[in-house]
Amino acid sequence: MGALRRLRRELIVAALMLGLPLLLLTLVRELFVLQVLTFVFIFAIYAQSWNLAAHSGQFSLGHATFLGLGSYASIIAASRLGLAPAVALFVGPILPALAGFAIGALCRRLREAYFGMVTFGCTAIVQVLVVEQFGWLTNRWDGLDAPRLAPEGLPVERVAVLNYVISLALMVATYLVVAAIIRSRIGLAFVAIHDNETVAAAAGVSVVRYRLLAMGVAGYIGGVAGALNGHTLTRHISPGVFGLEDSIWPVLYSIAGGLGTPEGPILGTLLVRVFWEWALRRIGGFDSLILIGLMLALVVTALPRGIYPVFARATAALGARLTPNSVKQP
Amino acid sequence: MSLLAVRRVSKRFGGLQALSEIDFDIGPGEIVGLIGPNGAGKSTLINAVTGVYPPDAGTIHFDGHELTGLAADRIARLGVGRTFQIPQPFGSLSCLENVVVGLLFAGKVASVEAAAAEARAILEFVGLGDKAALAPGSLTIVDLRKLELARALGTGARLLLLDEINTGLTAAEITEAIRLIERVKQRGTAILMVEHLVRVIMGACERIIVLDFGRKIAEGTPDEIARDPAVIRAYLGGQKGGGDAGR
Amino acid sequence: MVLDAGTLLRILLWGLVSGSVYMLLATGITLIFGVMKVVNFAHGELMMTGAFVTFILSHAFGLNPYVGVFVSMAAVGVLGIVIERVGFRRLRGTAKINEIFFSIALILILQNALARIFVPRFREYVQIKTPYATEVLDLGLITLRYDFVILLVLAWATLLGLWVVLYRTGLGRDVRGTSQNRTAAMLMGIRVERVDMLTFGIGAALGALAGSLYGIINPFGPYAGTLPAIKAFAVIILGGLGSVRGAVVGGLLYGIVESVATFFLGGSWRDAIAFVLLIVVLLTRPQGLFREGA
Repeated sequence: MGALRRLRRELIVAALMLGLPLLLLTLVRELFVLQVLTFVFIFAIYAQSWNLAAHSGQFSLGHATFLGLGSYASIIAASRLGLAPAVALFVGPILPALAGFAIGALCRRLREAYFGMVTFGCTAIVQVLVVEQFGWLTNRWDGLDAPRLAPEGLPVERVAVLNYVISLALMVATYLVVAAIIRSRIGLAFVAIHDNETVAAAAGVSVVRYRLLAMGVAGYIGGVAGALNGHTLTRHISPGVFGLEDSIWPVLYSIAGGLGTPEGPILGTLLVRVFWEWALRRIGGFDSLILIGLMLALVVTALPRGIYPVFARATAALGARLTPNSVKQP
Repeated sequence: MSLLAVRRVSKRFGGLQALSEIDFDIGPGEIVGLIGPNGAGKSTLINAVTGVYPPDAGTIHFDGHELTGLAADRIARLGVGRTFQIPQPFGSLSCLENVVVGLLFAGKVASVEAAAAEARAILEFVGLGDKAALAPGSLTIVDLRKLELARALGTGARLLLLDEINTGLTAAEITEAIRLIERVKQRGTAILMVEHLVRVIMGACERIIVLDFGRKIAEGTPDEIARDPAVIRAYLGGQKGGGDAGR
Repeated sequence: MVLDAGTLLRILLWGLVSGSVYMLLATGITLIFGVMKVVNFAHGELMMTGAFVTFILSHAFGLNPYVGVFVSMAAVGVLGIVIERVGFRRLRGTAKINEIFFSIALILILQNALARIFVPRFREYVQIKTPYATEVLDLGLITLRYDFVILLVLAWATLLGLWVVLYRTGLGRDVRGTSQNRTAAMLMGIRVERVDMLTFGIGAALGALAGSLYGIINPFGPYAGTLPAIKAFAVIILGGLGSVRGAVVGGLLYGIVESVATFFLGGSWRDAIAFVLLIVVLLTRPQGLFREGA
């Protein structure tokens, strides 16, 4: 079925993804560029997480739950439980993974608009819980400071490079993992569920089990992004993370890069973020967001079948092809 | 020993009693027709058997397992397959992949490669061999119905529930469809087919069950049914209701 | 927490007032959904646009806000018509998820367009000042702000007007017909595109009214529309998508429940209550409490 061909293609893409930024690293040492790209790497992981859930038809509008819980859990594990940040980075996301299972279970019969509303609502509820019920642990609205991922004593430039490389490595690793999932029978189940749940069930796919799996894995990956962000770039976490903004960005990144592919979120995050950094300085934050909104509106109305076919044709032209026996359409 | 045993199954939707005390058996390898005027409850019955929704009362047993109350995917894995009246393929997948899904998840095929090979064989069997790589969006209605059948076959079903698989076909296409169904039966699969077309029912079915207003009003061989006064009344006494409420 | 009669009355009064705002919001959203089967997540932004227009008319031109609301309703109504024609109409027939994406685009555009004008000039929040802000009716147990009375009158008069339109005019008949059965409506010769457009306009206008009234009794900013809108969504799911009756009753009830709950549970739970309710409802009665239909 061409699975081997896909694997080879993914490895090539991964190598490029790893190699080009490393090459860039040798040429550029400007702190600002490093930080922007580190942000791209981290949030590409976050977008990847949203995209995976979307692959199974679960379009979450409350993904910030995973980002925030991952940050909080990791930071608390590192500062309160004494775990090394590098370890906490992978332990913390277990919390959002569990949250993913819970939310997935809660919403297992909901689609589209209902699903979006409830996931958004869950984020609001989580925010209240974090501030009120768990305020003794989370320091309420002030938030928590995060221990640094990089070892003590390193100069600022070294830290930036380290953050850059670690984030890049994690992004590529996430890419390979997600690509493997999408390529596997699990990915097939996801697409079947996305297309038609009733028919998927009639074909033997356990809809609930796979929906939960998608949300749980998405929760873990999103949590890793949050934890990484906390320990490297922001060095802090506060309840503001549970707002609408951080739930909208991964949607934008994924749409920009093309839904349904493992490369899409990475490309999309890069495009949107670079545009954002450029636009922010030229026309200011508000206008940039208006522009992004206009572009999104344009893309959605002009390409109603989604921008994926455009992207697929483009990548097909570049020689990267999906399985020879599949023509994926949105 | 019957393959499918439906005992006193009832289902209500709000104010409408869609199924009332439905009772029948299907033996291994039989082809049974299910007919009745519009709104008689035929599709409702199929949905109840395949687990789309549970019956309000009664039991359904398949090969010794109790189906009542099981999830639809579990029922599919036990060996009950179905087609949908309006073909609903997986639009994002190719025809081949459409069949692979059933093979992997209900048919319990171990590897994707093995599933792909078997899927190809099934597509050949139904006459879609050359369209394996295409997406369903480009198929004709005839081919879509074949794909529905192929997908259901992929689940390895020992009982196939076909919901009006011949609607919209030309006479020649129907002849071909009947031959296809015969070949399916020869593989040992039992079939319950919902049908409107007299030709198909009389030609292909060994036994016929007749529903009207959610009740079984007759059961027998095609000849017996053709002469049954209750059946004639149900059909010729005026087509009941325009809607498909509760089907 | 001492709960004397005066406090109770105050809580209920606030519940009635805020409930009337929710009711208007919910009615707008449910009308749009009933006719077009579209969920517009950006309704809160339409609400804020309305609030903002009324504010500008009052602040910059000295127009009495209670007159300004009508201008605001008209303006946002037209905006709604444009949005429907340029956006949602194009998306009809495509995957439903596109509507959600388009709504997100609208949120981005409207929120930031408002913020762009708003934030540099004003502080974080403003409030629409009315000529009656300090006038009250002393009823012994409680003092009743004039503004509350006018708000209630306006809200309910509008509702009455809507009822008249829906049940006594040709347009209303077309709206109800399209909402119940779009195909049948088309077959009967109803121009459903026109109905879509006008319904969206009406829904947006109702949102603008809700926003303006909200802005009179609450401080607001460009981002303040999201939460009320989400609550309104919870309300219409509770009341039945497409059911105006459900939206009205649900909105009022919710306003009162929220007012009571805030008093006992504290402010931070105020917003989460809507979602808890929403989740409970979706788990138990996904089809809402009322049947669909206007």
